[in-house]
Amino acid sequence: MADIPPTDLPNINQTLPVEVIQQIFLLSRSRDPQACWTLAAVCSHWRNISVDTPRLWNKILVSLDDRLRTPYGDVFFPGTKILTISLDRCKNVPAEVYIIKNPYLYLPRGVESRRAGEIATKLACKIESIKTIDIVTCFATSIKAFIASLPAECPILETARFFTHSPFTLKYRPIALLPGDKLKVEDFLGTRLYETFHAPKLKSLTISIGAVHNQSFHVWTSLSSLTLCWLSMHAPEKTDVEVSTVLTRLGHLGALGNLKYLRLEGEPRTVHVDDYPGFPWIRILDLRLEVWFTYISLETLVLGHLSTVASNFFLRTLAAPRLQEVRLVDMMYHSAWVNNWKCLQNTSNFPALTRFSFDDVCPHLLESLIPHMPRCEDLSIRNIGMCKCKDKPCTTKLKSLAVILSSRDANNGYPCNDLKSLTVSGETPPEWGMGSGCIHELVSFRNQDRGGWAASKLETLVYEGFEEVSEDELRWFRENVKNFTYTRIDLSRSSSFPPFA
Amino acid sequence: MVTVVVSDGVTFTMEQDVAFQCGLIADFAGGGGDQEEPIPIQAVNSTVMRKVIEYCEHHRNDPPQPEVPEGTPLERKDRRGRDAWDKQFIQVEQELLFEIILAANYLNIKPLLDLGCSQVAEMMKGKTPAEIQQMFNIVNGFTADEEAQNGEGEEKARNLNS
Repeated sequence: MADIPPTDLPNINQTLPVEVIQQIFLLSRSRDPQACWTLAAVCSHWRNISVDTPRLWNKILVSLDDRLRTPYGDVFFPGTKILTISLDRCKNVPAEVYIIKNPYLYLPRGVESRRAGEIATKLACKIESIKTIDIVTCFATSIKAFIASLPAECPILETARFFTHSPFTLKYRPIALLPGDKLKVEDFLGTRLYETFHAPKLKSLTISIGAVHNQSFHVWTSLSSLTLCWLSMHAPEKTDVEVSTVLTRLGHLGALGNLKYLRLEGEPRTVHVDDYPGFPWIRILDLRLEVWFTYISLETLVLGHLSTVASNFFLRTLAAPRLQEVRLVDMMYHSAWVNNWKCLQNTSNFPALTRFSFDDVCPHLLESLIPHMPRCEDLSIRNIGMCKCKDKPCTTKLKSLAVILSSRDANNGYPCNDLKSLTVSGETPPEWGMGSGCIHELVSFRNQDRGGWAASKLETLVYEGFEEVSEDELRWFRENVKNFTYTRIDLSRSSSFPPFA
Repeated sequence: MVTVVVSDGVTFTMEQDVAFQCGLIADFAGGGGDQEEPIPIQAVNSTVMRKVIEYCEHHRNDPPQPEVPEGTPLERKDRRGRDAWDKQFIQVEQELLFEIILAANYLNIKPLLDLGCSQVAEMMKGKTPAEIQQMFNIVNGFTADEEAQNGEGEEKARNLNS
């Protein structure tokens, strides 16, 4: 390439010292993780500086598509080579490795798996300096191939994420599978994480892969430093999901003393199995989550997409003394859940639990659970909408939100009488009244005797909705609630995908 | 008060809290009281010193910035203290920008150095190597050996532009 003729602009290389140029490089990389490749191509001097700046190379972005993003556009560049060069240049600086797959480019599962395995093999050569491994694939088999090639010892690994888009995810499916390309059983197979896997510094573990079929799902044996754990399974019916094995092992080891955040998920119920003719399963919501132990540090528990078999979850829990918040996400109604839920009323096991959040759960489930919560000070209700229990269409008329919150449990009294903060956002069932109607009714209960609930401690009310609230209504809320916030949701900016954004 | 004399002989007098944002001046003054003798700043001219003093005066009441530990994500480091005024302040000709960076480096004013470097990084964002060469008047300078070694991303990036 011909040299650019000199101009009258100041020459940066003759003006700024190397250490300043190095700093500029690092700041460039903070704007674009791939900037190191561009900078090293500018001139010989910059190439030498960049190669001598290990921190420029320690955030490594590898594409399973064998492409490198450049200012010119994507260019072909094998991921293994990117990894080898970057690991070599970042020397002993702890590296963060992000392995991605463009979901809008089709890559056959065999190719994706092979490349994932090759990348893991390269990583294994320098595993002692890897602090983050983050891999997102389209096929669970690729995660399987990746982990199979990882070494058992990850001495400085702090963050690990193994994420596979669910094959059922409608948004993803047409892109990942070409016409005529059928889903295969292995798309749902999980992987076997070696029992001997040793990651003593692991703080964050996220797994979202296919369910395990006749295989054990043994996870890391040393998790004493783990503070965040997110397990997500895509499970066909009757697959004996060995999530219980995971929890059993973690619990038996007593190794979760620092775990603060735990999220467990099954398959989203939005999956329409009719879209998959010829598959041997009908329902995909059965997960076994039965074992639960004492978690000393756990502060937040999120359960998502589990509806049926997790009925013994809290029943088996001995205690979570620091648990402050329970969130349910995308759950259908199941009667067994109510008994399970009542276990939370044991305040000696859950003394700190005062915050509850329901996001996209069936309104019938919400209506069943709220009266049986422990004392609740902070309640968030989001995207409740219509009942979506397709298997058993609900015919029972829904109660209004005010009536639900004023419900009494025979043994527990009125859990919402201590409510200090209430958030209602997104969709609400028509039975609650459109727009502000549901909370208008709720607040108006304050000065009335309706079965014992008075909301006398309610200080904060946050309402986010699609509908416009009139000035009169807003004034009424401000007069009746100390802290009132209303936000009208902008639908054009609403997005819940991807889940890890 | 602290007085400095810069390379072109111009003298500047400023209050201590303004002057002591420059690590070099603080070191020179030893953290003591008023300085009688002007402190010589030979590496900075009066045009640049005016800009430096303008920056220091604007930030004289800022709380001391905590030391950023090694390994802090660059994104966080980059974001700190870059407010609208800073962005406006650093919108200068390229030559002056480089001189401000040099002065900040020499006078040991870390936030100003960060601000100047961030501005250069911002200018390079999304640019091709050839565009960066042109913007900063850089001659390619790759040796034949280096060209031969360039079977890597840099080479691919450049080939696409040729």
